Amino acid sequence: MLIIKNLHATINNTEILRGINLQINAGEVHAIMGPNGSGKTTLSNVLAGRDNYIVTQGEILFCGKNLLDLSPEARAIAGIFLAMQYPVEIPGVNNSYFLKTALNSIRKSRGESELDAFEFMELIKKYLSEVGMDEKFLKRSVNAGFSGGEKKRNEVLQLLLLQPKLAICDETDSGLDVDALQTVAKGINLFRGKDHGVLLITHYQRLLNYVEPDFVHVLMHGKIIKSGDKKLALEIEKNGYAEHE
Amino acid sequence: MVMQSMNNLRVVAPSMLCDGTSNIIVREKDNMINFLIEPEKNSSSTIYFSIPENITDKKFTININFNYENASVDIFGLYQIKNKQSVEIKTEINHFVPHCNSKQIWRGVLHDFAKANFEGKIIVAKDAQKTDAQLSNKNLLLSKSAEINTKPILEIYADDVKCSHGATVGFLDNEALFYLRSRGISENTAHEILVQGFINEVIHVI
Repeated sequence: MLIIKNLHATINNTEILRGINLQINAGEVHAIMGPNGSGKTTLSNVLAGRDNYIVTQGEILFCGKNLLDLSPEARAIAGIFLAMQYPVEIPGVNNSYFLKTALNSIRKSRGESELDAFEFMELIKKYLSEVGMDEKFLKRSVNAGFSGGEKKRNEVLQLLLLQPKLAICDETDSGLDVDALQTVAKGINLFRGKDHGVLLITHYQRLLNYVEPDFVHVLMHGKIIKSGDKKLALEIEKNGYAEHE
Repeated sequence: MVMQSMNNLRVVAPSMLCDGTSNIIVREKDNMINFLIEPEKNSSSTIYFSIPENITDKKFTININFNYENASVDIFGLYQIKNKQSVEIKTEINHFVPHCNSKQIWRGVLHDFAKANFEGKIIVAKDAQKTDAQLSNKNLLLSKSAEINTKPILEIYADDVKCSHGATVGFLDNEALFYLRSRGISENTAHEILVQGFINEVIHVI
């Protein structure tokens, strides 16, 4: 599904990613762990197509397509979803309107019919309850005044609604209390399946207690320096990153 | 514009709708359009103002004189201008007597080479205690060639009042644009959604 080959990327002329190699197949859950400044967020932003990041070497193939040629919206339509570390607040834009526009835009591109307001409400209500959100969230502006937990729930809500092929969760677990963490994990587990890939980016092993990864990678200084199974995450939790320096 | 409460809405001029006071005088001379509003005692009024399309090189002044107590006026104003449109808007709110409220929310969206001058002046006289006067003016520049000058002015001579004013000028939020696009929404639509979101505060009440 996703093949990253020798990826180098810079921001403001500083090289952050220094040769990443990673393959994610459908049905797999990968976790990337690393200390602050190791390049975790850069990797997720490069995958989603954010401006300001320049890929200087390497390539990314997603379902056979050259991902780096695609605009952010084309990547979303191709099936990439980035649950953001800091979801942006958009005052004045109604959450429900935003969700419906995004869903219909993606449905249209897949050749599916657009949902009308009633069909949309039926669908969204189902997912709202999965992530423990009240219907009143739909009436508010996108993420505006949401607590940290509410923002992350809203990200997982979008993940379930838009049904991408690959979910990249950038520190979706950070700043969450146990209840919110469990809800977010439940949403990710609901999404995972034989047709879906998941890339969890995290500092901590905590989330991995709830979403069990198939593979764990350690990212240091812009490179994956070690890969293994879930035992690797436990090892890091115990010994820290220092021994990998 | 979406009209939600049409109950008592009257057309004062092509640029102005009013719900409330009937004491509005409109004077038009050359390129000037002046509105003089003197609300009645115990009245509550809402004014909706927007620049009609294709209007250019016009000066609008809105003057409100609070001569009677317990009156309140809300103004929701929008100037969304394009091409080489150029407008000037001046408001002057005179709080002469106590216990009156004025609230102004102005939003400007400037495309292309459009140019706007906005001046919002609030004067609270010495006797006008318990005045509540607010002014907010936010502007969105959608082109590097667009120009906005905004000047909020407060003159307060009373000591027991609540007044606030603020003005901002900015471009579209790139982070918000990326967020919408990363959810599969095209760049153009994302643009429209954000502009609409910016002016929602003044138009959703209409």
